[in-house]
Amino acid sequence: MIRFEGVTKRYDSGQEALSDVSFELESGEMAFLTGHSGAGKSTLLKLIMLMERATSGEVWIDNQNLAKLSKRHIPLLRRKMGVVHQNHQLLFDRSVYDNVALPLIVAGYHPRDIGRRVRGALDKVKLLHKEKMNPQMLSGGEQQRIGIARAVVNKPPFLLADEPTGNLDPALSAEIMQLFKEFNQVGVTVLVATHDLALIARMHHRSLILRDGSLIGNGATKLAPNNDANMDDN
Amino acid sequence: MFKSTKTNRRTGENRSDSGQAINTSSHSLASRIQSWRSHHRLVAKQSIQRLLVTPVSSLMTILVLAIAITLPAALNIVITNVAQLTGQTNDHVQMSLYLQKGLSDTQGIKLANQIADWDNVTSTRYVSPQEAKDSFKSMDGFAEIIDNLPENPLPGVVIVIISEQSLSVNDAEMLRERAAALQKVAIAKIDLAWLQKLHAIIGLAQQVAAVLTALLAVGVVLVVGNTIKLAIDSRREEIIVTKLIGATNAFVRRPFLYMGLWFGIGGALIALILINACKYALTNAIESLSLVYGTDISLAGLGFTNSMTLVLMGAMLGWLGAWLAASQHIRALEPR
Repeated sequence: MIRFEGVTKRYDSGQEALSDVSFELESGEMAFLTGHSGAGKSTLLKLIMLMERATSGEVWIDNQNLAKLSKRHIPLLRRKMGVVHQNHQLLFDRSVYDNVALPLIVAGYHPRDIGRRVRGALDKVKLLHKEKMNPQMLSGGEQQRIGIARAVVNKPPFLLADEPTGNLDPALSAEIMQLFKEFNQVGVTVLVATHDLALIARMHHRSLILRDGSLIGNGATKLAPNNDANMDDN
Repeated sequence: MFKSTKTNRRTGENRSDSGQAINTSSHSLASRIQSWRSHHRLVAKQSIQRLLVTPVSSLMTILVLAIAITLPAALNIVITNVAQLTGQTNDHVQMSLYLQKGLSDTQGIKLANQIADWDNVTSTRYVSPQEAKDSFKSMDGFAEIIDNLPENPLPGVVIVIISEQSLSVNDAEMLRERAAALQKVAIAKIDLAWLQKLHAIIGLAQQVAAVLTALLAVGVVLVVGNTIKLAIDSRREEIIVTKLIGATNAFVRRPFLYMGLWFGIGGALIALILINACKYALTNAIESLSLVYGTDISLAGLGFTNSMTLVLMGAMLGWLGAWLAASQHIRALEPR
């Protein structure tokens, strides 16, 4: 569960990135976060990951008020969230396998479990055959899928994505959205920030629309809640 | 709530509480400890490999550390050796008690035996006036003079050899006063001037060595700290990504702490080699010195225990330098 209660974020520069934003995302729900660039999408995601803290208002994750979460506990919060970044944030000094294994090593998984889980995640994004390669040698779409594998490898209850299809062609974008849908179907709460309105329209999920830091739409494009049968027709 | 989700197993429980069907395998405390240990092993190995990727610059750093460790260690060895030399000359620290005239040899021997039982006295020897006269006579030119004297002018003497523990100037002086107070003793003489000088010099040298040791220890910490800071800068991106994924500061710090540890141990090991090389180079010089003085002077090295202590100190200083740099710079590196 992700809940924003009157959240305002003002940066030190004085710029107000979010103004009085309130919404709630149920556990197991999938939603899009949209709006023009600079509308506050990234800031909203950063508040959930505690890369930034709200100036006022409260952000709640799973009944935990993030304002009351000490610095020491931030890593534990982040382990509950798989995050897919637009620039995928892969490390080019190590193999695909080692990139995907990182969240498991960080969380202290037993080495015995790591191999199994990494291969499971790579298989899910259909890149198992490239585990030994350096991510630099892969295409943009493949790198993004490695980023997704890394985000889901420790089976987090939340999956956040910031413009995951930003640099990809429509076919690849659809493929990646399909992956997110599959994770959502096994119970992961998914929040995808994107400005790809065509994609959102096809997906029939709830949309949170930001404009200049304010939430101006909440659920407007939720055409077929909890029923995405139309998806396969696309 | 996060307090209760320290393990993923618990997180899994929470998830199933909210009716979600994500399956997480067991992630028990025992398996976490085991994976923590295996991560330490892995990081220890990887940090060595990282040092070997840039062998020249790593070696440079280690050499700087080695020299900084060698200087105070070598100075301490020199002081130890000088102190040992004074220990060897201890035999010559003796007190001469010139007895009152007219005491019989029996009384002299009795007194010598009595003083032999004192604390801080190794042994005593009574030299009778006759014996003293004979030893004078054996010297060139003295024989005639002594023979021409109407009577033996020499008193009986008790020679007191002072034990090692009483080498301190105060103890020796107290012993002298005690002997001088005896009725049968006319004069008690002990040559303290050279002892006092020697002790002053050794004391000064020890203080210089202590200051130098402290300064160079700070130097080692700073050199390691600066090297680790550069290593952290060059791995900024990795640190930020790892933190985004949920790494604790301790996790991110770990490879750098190991790196500092290896620097410290490497520096200390090279320092050991340098010290032993110096000792070897000095052996010949010491031997000829020993011939000239007719005494058996040998150079004491570090020995096993001190060598181990040196390596341990190097490891601790390296770790400390790395910790100072890492805790400061890694905390500042937050994903933005």
